[in-house]
Amino acid sequence: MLTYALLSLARKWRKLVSLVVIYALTVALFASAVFFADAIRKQAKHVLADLPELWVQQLAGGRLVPLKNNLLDSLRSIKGIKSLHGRIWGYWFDSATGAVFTIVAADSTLGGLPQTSAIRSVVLDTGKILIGSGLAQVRHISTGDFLSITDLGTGTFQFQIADQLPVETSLLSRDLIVMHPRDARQVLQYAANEITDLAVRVHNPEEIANIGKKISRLFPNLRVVAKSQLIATYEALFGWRGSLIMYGGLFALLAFLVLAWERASGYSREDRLELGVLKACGWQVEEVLQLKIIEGWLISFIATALGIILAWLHVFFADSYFIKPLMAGWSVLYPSFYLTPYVQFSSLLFIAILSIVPYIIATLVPAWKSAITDPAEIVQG
Amino acid sequence: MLAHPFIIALLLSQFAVATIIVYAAWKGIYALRYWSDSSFTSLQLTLEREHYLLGAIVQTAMVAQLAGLGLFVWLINNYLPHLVRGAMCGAGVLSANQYGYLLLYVKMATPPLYVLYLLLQYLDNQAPDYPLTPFKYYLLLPTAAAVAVETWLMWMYSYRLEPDVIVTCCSANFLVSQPSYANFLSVGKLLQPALWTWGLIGALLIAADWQKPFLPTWVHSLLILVFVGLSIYTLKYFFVKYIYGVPSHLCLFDLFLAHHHYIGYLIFALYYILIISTMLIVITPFVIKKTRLTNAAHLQTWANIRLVALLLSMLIPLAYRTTWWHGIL
Repeated sequence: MLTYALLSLARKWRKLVSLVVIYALTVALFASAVFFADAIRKQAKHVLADLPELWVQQLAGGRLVPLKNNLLDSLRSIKGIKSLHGRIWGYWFDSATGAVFTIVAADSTLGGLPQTSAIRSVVLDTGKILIGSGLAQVRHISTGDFLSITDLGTGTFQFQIADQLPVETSLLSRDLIVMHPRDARQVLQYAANEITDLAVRVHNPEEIANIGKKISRLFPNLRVVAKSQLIATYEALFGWRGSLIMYGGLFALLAFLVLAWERASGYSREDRLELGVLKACGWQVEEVLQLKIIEGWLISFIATALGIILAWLHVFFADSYFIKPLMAGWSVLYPSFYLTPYVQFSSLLFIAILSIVPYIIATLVPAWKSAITDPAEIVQG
Repeated sequence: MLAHPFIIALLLSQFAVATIIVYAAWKGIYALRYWSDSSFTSLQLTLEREHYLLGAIVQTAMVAQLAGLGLFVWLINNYLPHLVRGAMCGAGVLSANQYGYLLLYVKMATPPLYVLYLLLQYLDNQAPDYPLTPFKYYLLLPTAAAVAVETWLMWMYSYRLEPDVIVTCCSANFLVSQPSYANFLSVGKLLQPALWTWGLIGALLIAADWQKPFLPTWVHSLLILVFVGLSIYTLKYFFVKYIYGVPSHLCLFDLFLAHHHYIGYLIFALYYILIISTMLIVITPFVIKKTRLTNAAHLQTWANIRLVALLLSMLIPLAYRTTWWHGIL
């Protein structure tokens, strides 16, 4: 039966091309969203792996304000904390380009930028900075050039570019300016006893939540953020953006199913003759129905496989051209990143269930109608 | 959580299946009302032709629902625990709202109904005069009701699933807050008798399938059901300790995780085979009477499959226990 179904499809392949192409494109739309989310989640987990388990921020009126250094001494007494590290960072709006850059003190990249800190061993003196590829690109500057940072109320600071952060790290470093801690304090207007936030490393990963709770209980005005929360937020965010594409794609799927129904219902003269011959040869209703269902499964499998391959090429080799703006968001300094090919087997199964089940169901009734047609009626046309 | 690709895929598949099963049940009711063996009217001809359509619908629904059940179990054990705070496996994810466990139970209850219908359809097609039609359509009614309830539960569960709400997971099983009845069952007097009864019933059932069946039909089917119940009970309160190597973690969901080699899928598939074979034992006299079948080769095949399932469902947990060299947990 399977061989016959395959041969039958091979005979009429010209008629099926348009159906399979539209079907595959619909699947490719869903699959691209799933592949993109899978790959970026994995990449995000990888780059966030070295982040401190917890970080503590000071809030005033719901906004982030500088934290006093002496908090370090108060938190040190909490058992289970491995290390505490004050970080200095902030934003700088560059009116010339309309972009917002992130200024980080060189000692505050602690773990958060494993690739940048590992690759670059440049010792930063005061007056020297490292810049991300985004700044170099929009300002047309490179190593050795000078950059003026002007901010309201703080005057203008001149820095010489010591080096450029590697392009491979651009997912994290594209908008970054790394400078000496003393320079960072000056530009961001931090007093000597102030820091932006506090990175907390914990000995036992099982104790992270407990330590976080303890800090919140002792200092209710502090905000404690856990790395796991950040990762879960990424998961939810990309899941949500992927589902937006899928909801849009559902209409495409519905339109396609109507087309599939129409195609399955309208039989050509060759199809009718084939059915007539089969019935005249003694094929029963059930056998013809099975044949039509197997044909449906085959078309569905071929189109789904084709759609998955198209999505793979689109996401990992064509830089997700059609869905990237929706999935990754928008900014003046858009991080140019390439995703490492990665797909979970379970994702393939979910794509298959979304693609195959509705198609098979939509073509059931037309298949049955063709199976019960009277052979005499078919042959007479 | 309706905004997640995997949940959308499962919901869409569930709605599609519910639509065709309800359609099939509606056609079934129509056939139950107007079916007449002796009639040669066009209505009767249409009903006879629709009998093939209903079979194809249930067949498709079964494939979709079995795939959906497998993916749902994977989703709650491997994927959603990363999104739902506090959840470590399916136990935490399902307790995120009041619909979770209900949904799992209903999802687990529907596949035997499909399989039973398809078995009846197969036997019906063996005879030229459709002897089991329209009686088999009665089965479509509870199936449609179960699928409708399942779809509603699936929708409500997904709709009410809040990733921000902290859930308690299996930790409840090894904290002092463990419910007293579970304590009693797990460490109390029931476990030892349950293990012995499980072993004895298992041996009796194997003996019954090995030789010519000597148990009355109703005793045989009842014993299989008791065996499945005891298997799940002893698995939860005794054998999982040896599978996980932890004396206090009494959670069945971890069986479906990669580091336990997804053994839960195999064990529960075996229980499904046993339940389906029980249903077959119950309906066999009715089927033989109706279809006047004398060649029971397919029934023997089922008895052989049941024997293999019985043996494996006993040997797999026992293998974990006997290969555990570190004493009693």
